[in-house]
Amino acid sequence: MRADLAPFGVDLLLALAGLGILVAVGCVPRRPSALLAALGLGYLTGAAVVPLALIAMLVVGIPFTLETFAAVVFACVGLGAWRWRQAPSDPPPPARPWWRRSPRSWPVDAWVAVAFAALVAAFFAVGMSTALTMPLSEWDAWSIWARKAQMLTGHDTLVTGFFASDSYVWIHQDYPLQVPIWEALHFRAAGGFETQALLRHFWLFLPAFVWAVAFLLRERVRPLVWGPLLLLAAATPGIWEQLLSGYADLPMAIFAMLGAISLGLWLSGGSGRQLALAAIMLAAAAGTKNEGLMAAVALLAVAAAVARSRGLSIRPLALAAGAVAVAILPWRIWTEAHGIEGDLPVLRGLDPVFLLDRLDRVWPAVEAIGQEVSDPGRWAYLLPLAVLAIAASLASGVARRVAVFYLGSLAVAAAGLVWSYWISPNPIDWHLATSANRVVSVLVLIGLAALVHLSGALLNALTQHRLASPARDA
Amino acid sequence: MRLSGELIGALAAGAIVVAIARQAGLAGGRAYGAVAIVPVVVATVLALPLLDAGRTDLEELRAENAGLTAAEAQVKSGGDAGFAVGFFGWAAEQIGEDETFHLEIGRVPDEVQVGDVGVRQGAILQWGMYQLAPRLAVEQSPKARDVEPGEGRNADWLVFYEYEPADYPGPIGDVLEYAPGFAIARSEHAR
Repeated sequence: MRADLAPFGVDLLLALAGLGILVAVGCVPRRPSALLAALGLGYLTGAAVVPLALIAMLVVGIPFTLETFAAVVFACVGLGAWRWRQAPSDPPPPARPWWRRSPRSWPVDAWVAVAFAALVAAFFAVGMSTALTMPLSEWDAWSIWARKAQMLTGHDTLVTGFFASDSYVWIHQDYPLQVPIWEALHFRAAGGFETQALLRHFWLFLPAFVWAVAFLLRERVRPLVWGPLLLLAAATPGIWEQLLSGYADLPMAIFAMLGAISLGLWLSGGSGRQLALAAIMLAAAAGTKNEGLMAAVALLAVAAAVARSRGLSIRPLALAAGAVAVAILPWRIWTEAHGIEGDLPVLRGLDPVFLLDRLDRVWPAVEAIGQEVSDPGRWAYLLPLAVLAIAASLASGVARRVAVFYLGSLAVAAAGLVWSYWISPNPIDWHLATSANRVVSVLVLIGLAALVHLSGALLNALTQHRLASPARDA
Repeated sequence: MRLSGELIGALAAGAIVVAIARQAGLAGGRAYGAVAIVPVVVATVLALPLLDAGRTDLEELRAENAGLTAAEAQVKSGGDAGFAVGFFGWAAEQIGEDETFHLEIGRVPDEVQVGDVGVRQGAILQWGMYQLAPRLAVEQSPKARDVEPGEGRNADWLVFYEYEPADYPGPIGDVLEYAPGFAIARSEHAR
């Protein structure tokens, strides 16, 4: 019973911690109904912030226990509660929201939102009933991620005999600990390392991420647009199948996507609160996988370039980038202090002679990435549709700044992936065959961010919706 | 390349929609705004069949794992790969959680090597160290080579997998045998 129920308590506490952070940074209006609407984003924010804090605490020697977890949650909730009391009043809510009216007077957007919620809930329920009995079968899921979580369940500290020992050098000791910490929290709550009780918690990411995107873009994109697009995302096999694999690629891609949307909102006239959320999500992406760090750098660099070219101050963005760096620094310091090196020869990867010597690896990487992102059975045309939305925005001038940001981010992130295959010491065929189908997730989900965000702006331009003006710039 | 075809198809669909919108009298940004109809329609058309297919796949997966107990699920991946999960489970019962071990895996004549690592040995090693955790392995490396004299002597236990303890090049304590070729023994410097 404990193994089944207590880990869901961890999820609840993560959601509460995340809501506390969201209130603290001003991303959620201080109304109970708004907190409920932000629950998906709250869960992902908690899953981002709490493990990052626990990693930093582990690095300075504070034991990893359920008590320290509770303390971090308490701190996050306390921060939100303090902000709730201190901040000036939020704008009043709509006088008579649609859900308080008779269904006969509901607008079409309301019907779309209700249908979307019902379909996602039904799919989630089917998936959850499957996840409840699924074993952890995928190789890297148990050999890398769960193995580290297993150690963090059995030990309260970063045991050097595991995390820095030559005997375990093949577990990718440099990989960040966001997912192992998140998994270990569930194992500890369950009372032991029981892998059958794990995938059901990964499955929570599915409703959480579509819910989070809808909430983040609620003032820019109508349900008529986000409803079908996010439903397609939830139904896309490349997304839900990966969630049931226990790999870290999709959680990382989800964090990167939410970071991308937050940066996109900031570029289209948003405020510091979006940058704060972007920093949280990008830190989590970078704290989940090394590819997440590459994606975070790509998104921040492109956002900076777009902001500068449009005359926006990049000081707040620099602060956000600094926050990302500070958040991921503890683990990097620990690995450096223990002489742990990653697979990728990053510095040599900047040497033109080294790169020229391995030029034959570039085309296979480009080809494999292109094949993977265009697999319709896996990604349901999400990326081509995103490119269409970007092209239409660029051609029309609707949300052009945001379109440039998404296009640049996709290009730089894709180039980063190719570069990582280019400099990798692994045989290229084996490396591509074992990873390309997973690592492209971040490209598809950044594309999904662009697709939802820009399609909303385009439809607003078509209907001359009242929300069109903030999204339009030349 | 398939991606080029998909991109051309998407852009062509967008161009057709813009042309129709212009024909309908929409100008500038509003005509391009009509492009949003393309992804919304495509998503609407694709999402429901995909949800249905996903539901079927999920139900098949559920049927595959119906009746799987937590204990069976814990070692299913190793069992499916052909590893001796029963032996590792037995060894875990003998070795204290705060004790260390060193795993010796026998060679097979046709061991496939990638670099200096035997693929089969490496896989058994990864699984064995996983099933024996949180006990820590010491002086361990993926291999497909002859064990070096003294390797593993600083572990509390030596774990022999498809390996005769008598072949171990060093002193060992009493051998506890699980099955022929599967045994554990105290090492020379066991605590």
